[in-house]
Amino acid sequence: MIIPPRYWLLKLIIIGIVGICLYPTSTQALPVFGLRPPTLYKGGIGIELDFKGDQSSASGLSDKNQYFLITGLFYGITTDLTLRANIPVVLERRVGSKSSTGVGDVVLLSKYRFWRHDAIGAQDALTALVGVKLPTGKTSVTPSLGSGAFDFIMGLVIGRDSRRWTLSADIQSVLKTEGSNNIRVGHQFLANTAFGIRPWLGEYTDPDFIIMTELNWRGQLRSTQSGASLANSGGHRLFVAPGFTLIYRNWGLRGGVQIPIYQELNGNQRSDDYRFSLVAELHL
Amino acid sequence: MRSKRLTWITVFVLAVLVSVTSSYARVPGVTMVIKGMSCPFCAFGLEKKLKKVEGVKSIKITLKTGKTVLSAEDGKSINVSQIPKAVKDAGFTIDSIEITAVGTIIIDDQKEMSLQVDGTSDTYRLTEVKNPVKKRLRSFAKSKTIVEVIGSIQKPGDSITSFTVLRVSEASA
Repeated sequence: MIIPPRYWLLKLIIIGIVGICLYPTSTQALPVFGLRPPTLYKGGIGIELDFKGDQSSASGLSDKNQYFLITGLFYGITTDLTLRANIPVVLERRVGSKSSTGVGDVVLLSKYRFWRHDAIGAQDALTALVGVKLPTGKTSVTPSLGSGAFDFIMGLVIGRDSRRWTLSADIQSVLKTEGSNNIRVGHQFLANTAFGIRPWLGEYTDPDFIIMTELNWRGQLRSTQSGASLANSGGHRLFVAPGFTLIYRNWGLRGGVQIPIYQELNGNQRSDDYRFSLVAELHL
Repeated sequence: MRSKRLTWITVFVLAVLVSVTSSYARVPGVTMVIKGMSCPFCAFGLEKKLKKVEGVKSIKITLKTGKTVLSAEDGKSINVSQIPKAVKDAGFTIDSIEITAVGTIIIDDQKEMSLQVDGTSDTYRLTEVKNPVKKRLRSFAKSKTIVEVIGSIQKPGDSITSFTVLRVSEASA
C-alpha cells in the first residue's frame, strides 16, 4: 500500500517524538528501551555497560542473531545539558553460517532539558535529543558490522519521576544517509511509553527497585539502492517490554525483554523473535 | 616591668577570647527542603555537589520529604552562600532553608537588624522580626553578646542575604 507523502510527514513527526523517548540516554530510574528525561548533574560523569542482543527469523531465510556490548560514557556539561558517546562492540553478528565481530557504529548524542518542574519527591521534565551515528563499523565483512553511513538522530522525551511511580513517553527519528553498496537504509521512527512502579519505598541509602513495563513501536521506511526502492525492507514493529531497574546510591542495574506483539513487514523479511538488554550504570 | 606584665596579661586574655570564640562553628548547621528528588541517583548528585560546599562535614538526605541536613566540621562554618549554586548544579530546587548561625546583632541607622556571622564577613539582614524576639535582639545588640540565631528562608534565589528569625539565644561556647 502506498501512503500519501503528507501522511508520511505526520508519521515522521510522531515517530520522531516517540523515538526520542526510547533512545537510551537517560540517567535515572526510567525505561530500559525508551528514553529518559533527566540529565546528569553539572560536572557529573556516567559510565554504562549495556549487554544487548536480539534474534530474528523468517521462513526461507536463515536465522539472525546478534549480541552487543555497548559502552556508554556521559558527562554533564550543565545541569540541563548532557553529552554522551555510545561505543558498541559487536560480540557476534550471525546470519546463517556466517558471523562477524568487531566495533560497530559509534553514536554521539547530546541531551538538553529545556523544561523542568520540581515538587517534593518528584520531577517533571521535557528533554530534546540530537545525535549522530558515525560509520565506524566495518562494512567489508559479512555480515557487515556497520551501515557505512551517517545517521542523524532527533528526539523528544517527556516524563515524570516520582517516589512511587515513573512515567515517560518519547518519540525519535533516525534519518539515514546512503552507505555502502549505494544502499540507503529507510529512515527509522520510534515511539515509546514506559511505566514503572516501586513496590517498596526506601530511602537514599536503601536499594531502590522499580518494576517497568514499556510499549515500544519501531517504524521504518523502505530502503533504497541507487535510488530504487527495495521490496523486502521497511515496516512496523510493536513490542511490549517488561523490565526492572535497581539503583543503589550511584550504581544502577536495569534490564528488560522486548516481546513482539505486532509486526507488519514489507516483502519477505526476518521478523523479531525477541530483543533483550541488561545495563549496568555508574555515576561518578 | 609593670607595663611588660600588662602586655602579657593582655596577650593571654586575647588568646583565651580567640580560643573561646573559635570553639564553636559560626554556621554549624543548615537544614533544607529540596524539591525534585525521587531516586538515589538524584540524591547522589545532590550529595556530591553539597560535599563541595566549604565547611560541610556530613549530609543526610531524606528522599520522602526532601529534607537535607548539612552539618559543619568541628569549629568550622558552612559557607551558606555556596549552597544555592550547589543545589542548582545538581538539578534541583530549594523549597526552604533553616540556618543556625552564630554572631553578633547589628542595628544600622535605619534601625534594620542584621546578623554579623562571627569570624566571617557574612552579614544577613533579619526580616519579619517581631516582639518579643525584636526586644531580645536589641538587648543582644546593645551588649554585643554573641548569639545563636535560627532563621528560615522560603524559596531562596541564587544568593542568600536575609532570613526570618525563628529563635535566638545566647551562644554557648
